[in-house]
Amino acid sequence: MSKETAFAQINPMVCFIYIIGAMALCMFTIHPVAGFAVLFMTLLCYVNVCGRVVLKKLPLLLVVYMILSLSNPVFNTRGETILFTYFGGRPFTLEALCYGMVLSAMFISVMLLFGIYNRMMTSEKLIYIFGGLAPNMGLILSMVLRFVPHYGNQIKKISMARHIKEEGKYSKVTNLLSAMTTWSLEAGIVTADSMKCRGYGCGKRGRFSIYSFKRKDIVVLFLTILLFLTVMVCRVKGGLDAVFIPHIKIIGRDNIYFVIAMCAMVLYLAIPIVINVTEAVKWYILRLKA
Amino acid sequence: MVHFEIKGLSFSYPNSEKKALDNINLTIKKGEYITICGRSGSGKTTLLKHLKKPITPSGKRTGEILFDGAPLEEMDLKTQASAIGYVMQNPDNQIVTDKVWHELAFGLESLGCDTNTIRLKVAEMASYFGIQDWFHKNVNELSGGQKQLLNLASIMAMQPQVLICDEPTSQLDPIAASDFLQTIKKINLELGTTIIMTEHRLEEVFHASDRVVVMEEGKIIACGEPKTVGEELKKQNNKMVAALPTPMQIYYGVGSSLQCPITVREGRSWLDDMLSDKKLKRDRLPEQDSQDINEQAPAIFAKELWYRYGKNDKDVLKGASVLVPKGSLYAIVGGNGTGKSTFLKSICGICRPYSGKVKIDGKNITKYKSEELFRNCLALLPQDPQSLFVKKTVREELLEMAAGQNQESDVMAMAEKCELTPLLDRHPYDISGGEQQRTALAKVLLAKPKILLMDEPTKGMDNFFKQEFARILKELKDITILMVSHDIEFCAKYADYVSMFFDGGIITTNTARRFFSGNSFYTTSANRMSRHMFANAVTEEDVIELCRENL
Repeated sequence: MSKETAFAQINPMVCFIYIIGAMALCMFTIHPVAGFAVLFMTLLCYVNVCGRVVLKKLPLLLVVYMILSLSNPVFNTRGETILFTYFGGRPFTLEALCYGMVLSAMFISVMLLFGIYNRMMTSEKLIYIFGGLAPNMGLILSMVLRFVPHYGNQIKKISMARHIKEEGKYSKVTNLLSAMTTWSLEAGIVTADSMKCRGYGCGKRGRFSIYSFKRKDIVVLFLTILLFLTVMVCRVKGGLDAVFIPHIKIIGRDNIYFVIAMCAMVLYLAIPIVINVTEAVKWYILRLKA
Repeated sequence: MVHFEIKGLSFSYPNSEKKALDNINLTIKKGEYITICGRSGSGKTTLLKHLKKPITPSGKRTGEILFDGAPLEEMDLKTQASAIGYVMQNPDNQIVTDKVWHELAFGLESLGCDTNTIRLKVAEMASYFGIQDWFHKNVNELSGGQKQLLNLASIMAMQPQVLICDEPTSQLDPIAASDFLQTIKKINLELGTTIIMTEHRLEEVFHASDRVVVMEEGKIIACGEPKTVGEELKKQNNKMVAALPTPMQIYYGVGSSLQCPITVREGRSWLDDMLSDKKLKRDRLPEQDSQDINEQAPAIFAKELWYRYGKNDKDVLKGASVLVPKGSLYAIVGGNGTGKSTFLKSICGICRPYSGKVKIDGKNITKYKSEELFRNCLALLPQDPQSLFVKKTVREELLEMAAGQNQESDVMAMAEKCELTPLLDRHPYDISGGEQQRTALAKVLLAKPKILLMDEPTKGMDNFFKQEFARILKELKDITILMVSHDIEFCAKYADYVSMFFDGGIITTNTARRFFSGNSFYTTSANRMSRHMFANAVTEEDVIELCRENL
């Protein structure tokens, strides 16, 4: 795996909360200006976190976006401004098109956030998060992750050894399965012995992880919660209201809650970028001094 | 201070009349390094398992075991988990979790330590064992040697007073094995941890041990310092002499009144002392006139094979060529990760080289149909015999491979040859490692191959079984054998031709004697011990013969 970015090094719990929060923000936003701002920011974030390679995926995203946007008016015919009609009078309305564009922006943002999530939350981080809730669950998860490649390896070994014998497809699979069953039971006994030898089950389990809460993590967590709540409060106050059907009516710049919500949202989504960029700048300055 | 005291311990497994352990009396002092050796099936593992309560086998038992003066049975689980560490044979199956750091912490987590304690101890262990570089890796990315070192480190993290190792290096290549054993010695010297180990690479552990215990059929037949144990075995004329380190074997073979040498260094000065005042009558053995390898009829002919695993990977084979003459035993030796096994796989068509050609029996391998190739022609004995087993009994296992009308009689004849007849109704996983190896060999041979490929066949075998294995191979007339091996001593004794594999290709090929007498590092202990006296002695027998002639 490539080197971890500065954002990936913050505590997994904070990272997890952050990404879930970002998804929630996206999903609750149907205000077009906010929606596109979120899309833009998540895109920046995605490129920043996953590297420039992902720019290659942009055309595909654009196609998905077009298809999603254009298909909404096909299913939703309501709206005042009819652009054109087809199939003998079925209307294609401007309002539905706009609504579709905002919805697809939201959809794409969430997709990008999942991309970021995938990149950030490696298996060990997940174990860290859920192992806190149920320690044995965490151990089992870790053992499963150990066994999958271990078993895969053995399957490869057995099927290679079976090269010496020609056999039908059906008997090949049953033989492999039977050999794997025997082997895994045998291997399981050894693993169980090894666990017992190291004191498994002799009392309450302690918990160890390579992650710890640092000052930086607390700051990020605090900012995340603060900005998230700000957006939510503004939204309740009507700062992000938007109605598309039957005609478009959106909150504008004159509403103070809208301005605050927009700022908070952009700031929220900029957190990873800020962390990564400050780190890079710090390095640059340090190297200049040296 | 006495650590373990075993008093009159006898044990037999359920449904078995035979005593697996027979009246064992042994006292182990604190900080001692004890090696237990014996043939496979002599009860070594059973004895070790008795020293660790959670894995003590059930059965009929008499006698008692004291740990620190108190009966072992009364010790509570938690204390024994941390006080007695146990490293097993198989490096893979002992690993529980998916990450190196988690594995290191596993024992401490079980003991219920708090995070900060675990953090410190894990850090300590990772530094002591040099694990920092792969601390964050997944365990399946590690090499066998690293895995076993991880197992050791994760047990040492609990700070045991005793470390018990059950043939810890049997699945490792020689370099990893020697690293591992050196780490054990370091632990013993620097931390004063008591070490109790079974091992069949006596060459490596004999000189490091304080005491050696030799077992046979559940009894201790000799126990004492390495030198006196050798003496004792010689006096009893026991077969175990064949397992002693090379210098000791030569010493007893020649018969001398000087001090018995244990290491190669001592062996060299012993030779010097013995032959110093004599003029050497003969300093070389006659070379057998072998035909030029290139003029013989080839069974396998591979020319400039190039292979890589993925499009963007590095080349593993870089123009590797080989010519294996019909009816010969051809060995390829070389370091780890040089591509030896891949070479073997491309010869039998499991890997497809992207350039170069392979001819089996004079016919291009691509012209063979798969069933034609593997029926009565080519067979591969994999490294791990267990990967060949798919049936419930050894008999079914063998029957699966036999074909034709006289299936039954073929199987019986093969079982006789490989000494499997009494085991035919056992489950292939219930027999010992050496027996599994024999079953795998029998199974492969039942396909009646003309060419047999073997990947590390002697891995995990003890010295006696190696001799037996070599005997079986010698009896297979008209079969061409190509083996890839780390086992220099085995190749020197039994191979007709030896090649050195390095960096994706064969560097040099020669007859075994010329090959090993020409090398100065990559050669047998007998050769290293005697090269300043004799020109081309590579096996113990060679040195003994030359010594006798010159005395």
